[in-house]
Amino acid sequence: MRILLVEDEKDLAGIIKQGLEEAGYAVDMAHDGEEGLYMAETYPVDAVVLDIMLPLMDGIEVLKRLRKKGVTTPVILLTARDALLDKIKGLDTGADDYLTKPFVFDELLARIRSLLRRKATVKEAVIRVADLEVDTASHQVKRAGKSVPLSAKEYSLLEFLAYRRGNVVSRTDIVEHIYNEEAEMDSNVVDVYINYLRNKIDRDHRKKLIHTVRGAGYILKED
Amino acid sequence: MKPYMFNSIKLKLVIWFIIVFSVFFAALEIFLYNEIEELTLELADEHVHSELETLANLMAIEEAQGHMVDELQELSAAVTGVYAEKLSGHYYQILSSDGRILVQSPSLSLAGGSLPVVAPGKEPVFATITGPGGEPVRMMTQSFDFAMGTLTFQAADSLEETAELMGSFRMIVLAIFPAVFIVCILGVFLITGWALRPLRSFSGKVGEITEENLGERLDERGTAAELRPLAASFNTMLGRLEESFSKQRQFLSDASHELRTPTSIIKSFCDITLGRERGAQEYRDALKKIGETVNRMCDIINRILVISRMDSKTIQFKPARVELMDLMKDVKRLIEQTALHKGVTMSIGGRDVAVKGDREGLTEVFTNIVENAIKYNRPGGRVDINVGEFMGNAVVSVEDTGIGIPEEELERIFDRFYRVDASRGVTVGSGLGLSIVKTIIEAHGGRIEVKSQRGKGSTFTVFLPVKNGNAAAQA
Repeated sequence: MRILLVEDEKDLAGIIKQGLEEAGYAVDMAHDGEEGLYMAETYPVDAVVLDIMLPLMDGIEVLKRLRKKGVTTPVILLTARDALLDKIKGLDTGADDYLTKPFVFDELLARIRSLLRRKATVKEAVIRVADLEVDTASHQVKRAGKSVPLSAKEYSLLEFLAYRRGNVVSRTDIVEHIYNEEAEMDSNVVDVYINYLRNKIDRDHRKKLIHTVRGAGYILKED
Repeated sequence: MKPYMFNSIKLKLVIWFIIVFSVFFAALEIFLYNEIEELTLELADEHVHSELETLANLMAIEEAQGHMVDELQELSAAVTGVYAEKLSGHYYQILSSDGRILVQSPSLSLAGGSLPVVAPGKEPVFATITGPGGEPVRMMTQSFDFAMGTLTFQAADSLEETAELMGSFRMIVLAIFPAVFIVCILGVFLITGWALRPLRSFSGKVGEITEENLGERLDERGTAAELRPLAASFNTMLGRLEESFSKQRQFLSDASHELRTPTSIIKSFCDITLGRERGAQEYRDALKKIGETVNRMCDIINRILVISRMDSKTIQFKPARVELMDLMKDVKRLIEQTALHKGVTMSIGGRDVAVKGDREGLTEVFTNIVENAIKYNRPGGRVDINVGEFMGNAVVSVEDTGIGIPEEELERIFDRFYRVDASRGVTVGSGLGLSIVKTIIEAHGGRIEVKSQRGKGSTFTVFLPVKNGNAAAQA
């Protein structure tokens, strides 16, 4: 999953980016409103974490313009003010959630997960495909009740497929959602990671869950 | 009894009313009583006077016909009406010059009494005496000359009716006075209560205003004319209170907002760093960042403290003679390192001017201004400081070749927590620097002006009243 973080306070942006990446997200970063708006419009991000007090254009304005252009990406507003009016204004402008600084980082993660679920066809925190369990909160993956250790990137890929279980996902989609703009866009990488995932999830089981759809991409389904 | 119980407008009004009313009403009644008494006496006098005159005329007619003294007894016997009735209250008698009673009205003779004999006199004499029946009577005595000698005539009328009249008048007065008094006091109570009602509702409205609804105002037009100035000044006071409350609230909210950013940096570093096992270097890096952020927080807190102390006037400026050229050189030395780092050249020109002020405060002022001039400059830029004097003011201008300040923001740069940098992608400072600068300058009786051209640079000019030599010592 790819997240856009718009925060002008560079130290804060840096550490949040680190935290999000460690949680398995691909993170793009913008430091002012105009850059944030541009990136939110252009990049296929799955969620935006948007600070309200921003240089050049404030977060509310960014959100207003995004929604006006029909961009429905879920947005979490971050603000240093907890005035009720600000919250109401933010939510009315089209924010999906609201977090007041300073916040507990785990809460930000939980809210991001909740937003991603809302967008996905799956609404549970634990996504199940046959006997495969993907716990999006703890990032624990189990196959037939047995824990499967995955690297962060492998997990991101599996989670991306799991959120879209039963749907074909193209290589480009995968690259765009599990890497940020700084990564080398090489769809061969996807094949490599799919291979790793198959080794860890499908190899020891008769029932295969990750399937290749020739010329289209991959699909995670029961058969 | 507590003394403030007597401090009541209503009570005072009632007491004053009672005093004034009692004195006035009593005086009026005494005056009326005397007037009426005099009037009734005059009436009685007139009456006896006409009786006496009738008698005297009668005597004169008798004398003219030649039968004088012999007729006197007949005269008395022939009398009818009230004079014939025993002790009727209407009497007369005629005395000879030697004081003998010649004739008496039957009302007297039948009772065997007489009127007290008075010495004869040509002028009428009136007297109130006790009559033969023990009743008060008004008696008139007057002597006339006849051929047979001087005759003294006496006529008297009972004053019983008059006394009765006065008695009932007294009764009426005594009965009416307390009744009117009570009615009037009740009236005064009601009227003062009614008159003071606007005051009560006024104080009621005032009482409803608290910290929560300072925005409310008293309706001046709906208030009684006498209370309007009070309402107006109360509203003015409310306005000032509201302004200072909202300023304070704004300051508090801004201050907490300012502290939230570093707090969330620290918190995020802790949360994320502690989220998993890490190498020593990562912990060191995180702690270093946290340390830097804590320093930034301390700086903000210090500035907030300075501002709140300046607001509450607990900061004491120690005024002394300050040579501005000297001070600017100090400032330059303090900032030289930063300027060098940024590649900005600093210059100081002009001539020395001395002002009376707090050296520490003024250093803070110019350090802030020059620091900003460097911070927002371009590499290779210049900061030119000029010290001079103009129309009784020491003038220090700091001109930079920086990015400039947009015109629409010029007014607000001295506001607390306002950061032009926030809209320029540069994040430095607490947003309090220039507001502290302005406060210190104003405490010195000076002012600060700013001119700016986007992309070309800004000029901050500080004016401080010149007080050198003896003037400084006196001020």
